[in-house]
Amino acid sequence: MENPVQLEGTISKKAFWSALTAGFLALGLLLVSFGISGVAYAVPIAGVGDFYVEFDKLEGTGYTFYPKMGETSSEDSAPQGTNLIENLTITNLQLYKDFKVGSEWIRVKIQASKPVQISGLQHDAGLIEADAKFQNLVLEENHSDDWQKQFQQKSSTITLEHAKLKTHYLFQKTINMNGMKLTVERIKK
Amino acid sequence: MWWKNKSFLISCSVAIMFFSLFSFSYGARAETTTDMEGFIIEADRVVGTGMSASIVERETSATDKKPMLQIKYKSATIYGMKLTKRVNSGNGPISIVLNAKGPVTVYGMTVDISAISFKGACIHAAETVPQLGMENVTMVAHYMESDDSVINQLTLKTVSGNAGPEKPDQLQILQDLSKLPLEQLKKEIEKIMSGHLPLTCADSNTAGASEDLVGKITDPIQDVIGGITDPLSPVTKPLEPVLKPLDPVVSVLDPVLKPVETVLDPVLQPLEPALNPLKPALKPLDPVVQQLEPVIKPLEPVINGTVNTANQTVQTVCSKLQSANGVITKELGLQLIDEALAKKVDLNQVCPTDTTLTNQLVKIEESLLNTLGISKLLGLLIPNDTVSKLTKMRDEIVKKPDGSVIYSQ
Repeated sequence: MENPVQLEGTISKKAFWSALTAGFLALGLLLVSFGISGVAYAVPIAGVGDFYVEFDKLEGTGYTFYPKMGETSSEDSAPQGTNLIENLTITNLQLYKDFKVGSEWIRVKIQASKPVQISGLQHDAGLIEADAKFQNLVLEENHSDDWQKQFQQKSSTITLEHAKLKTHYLFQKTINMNGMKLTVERIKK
Repeated sequence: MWWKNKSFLISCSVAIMFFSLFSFSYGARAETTTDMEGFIIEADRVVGTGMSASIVERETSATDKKPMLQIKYKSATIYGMKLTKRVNSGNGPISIVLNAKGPVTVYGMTVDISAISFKGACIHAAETVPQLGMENVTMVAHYMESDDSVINQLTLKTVSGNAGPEKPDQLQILQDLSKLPLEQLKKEIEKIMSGHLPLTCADSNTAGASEDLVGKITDPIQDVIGGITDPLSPVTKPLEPVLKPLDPVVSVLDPVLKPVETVLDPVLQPLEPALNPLKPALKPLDPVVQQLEPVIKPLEPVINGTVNTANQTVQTVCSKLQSANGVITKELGLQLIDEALAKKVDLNQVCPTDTTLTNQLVKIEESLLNTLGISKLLGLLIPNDTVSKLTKMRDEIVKKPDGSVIYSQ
């Protein structure tokens, strides 16, 4: 009865840290590459399950929202909302995901100390919490057989402040992320 | 007989069964689609200005055109707003839920609705800007737009299943309007369009309130007085044909006048020498108006209502301050100072019941004194004279261009 417990602890940690190191190296290379050029193109963040996006302020133009069904860390198909923003600037951006390692929790966090400029954002979220401002906001129904087109929310501009977004998928056509920092820290939950 | 053949009967039974199944399933799908139509907007309270309404046709998720009520506001503040949209995703129903824990402020809002239930919506005509209030609002909307929207403490989530409340059963407004004769219907719509008609009142749970209620609300004093003096017309007019041929008909009039003797005796005597010409006969009617005192009594709640309206004007200044989100224009600044002058209190005591607004007013006052250079003007000569200080501040603000921002957080 004791052996399996010892084996499980040793192997899972080793495998985890190896995978995490490899992942960070790859992510670091990616970030360094666009840190040199200043701009990264067609950047998806997916396949890591749910993660959180927080920021002080987002100012964007050309906003569209519609419902979708998509993959999450716990389900193959779960209800989500797709947010499309043509151009935006984010102040004090933080992306983080918490992992449970043994009995402890660690948080992998990417943050930018300078404003992040993004074009062609697709953001699939299950939950958005923020103080919001819209200009020319329209919520409308459309007569369509495609259920995703039956309801849309659009606005010419969008401003979100003090925001927290539970995110499942993130894609940017271009992103300019100066002052970026990647940290791994132990947290209490 | 060939039609008694077993295989033929089985074939027919199977065909009928499939036909029935198809019919039932089609009906169920259609019902589901209809139920998914519209997005449900709930609100604890909606306070809007510059409201108007009309009937329009609008696309929904199930049809290209559907008649619905279009309500427009120049500006509105929505408290306790929750918006739910149900969609049939193919993998089952899902719901988009937009919830605002803080107040939602919208400017230039248009909303097209097919069903609504609410209470307490009245126009407060005594205010400079027409204001419409509704409470416990639940509406099925199909289109909503606004020029500017501020949604504090927004939560937007997408969840499985049918969330949200039951839809209101019927569109009361359209139903009530449709019951009216054509001419009256036009009048009602004109009243809605001009912004003078409340959709309903607290005393009535039905939309499209009656004429009586409308009169009381749109102009509390004038309309109600009109409503009381109007009944005099049918009293005086029937007198005309009676008074002229009075001499030959006096005997007939006697039984009629007797029940009114207590009221008319002091009136009829001066009438007698002046019965032939009608004009002098009308003057003695003044005492009759005095006899209406018991009728005037119902005015008291209306007068009280006017007092309440004045209080609400003060609330409006405070609510405007709340809606301004820390950006004070020249006009709002003048309103606040006028309010403080009227009360003869410091600027920070204009909204004494709201701690947040009071703190904000303290900052505004300090900022105004500094930015306008009034502290230099006042110096230490009259530091405690509230009215003089406010007057100085007002004089300085008046010099600013219209629409300019005099304070921003």
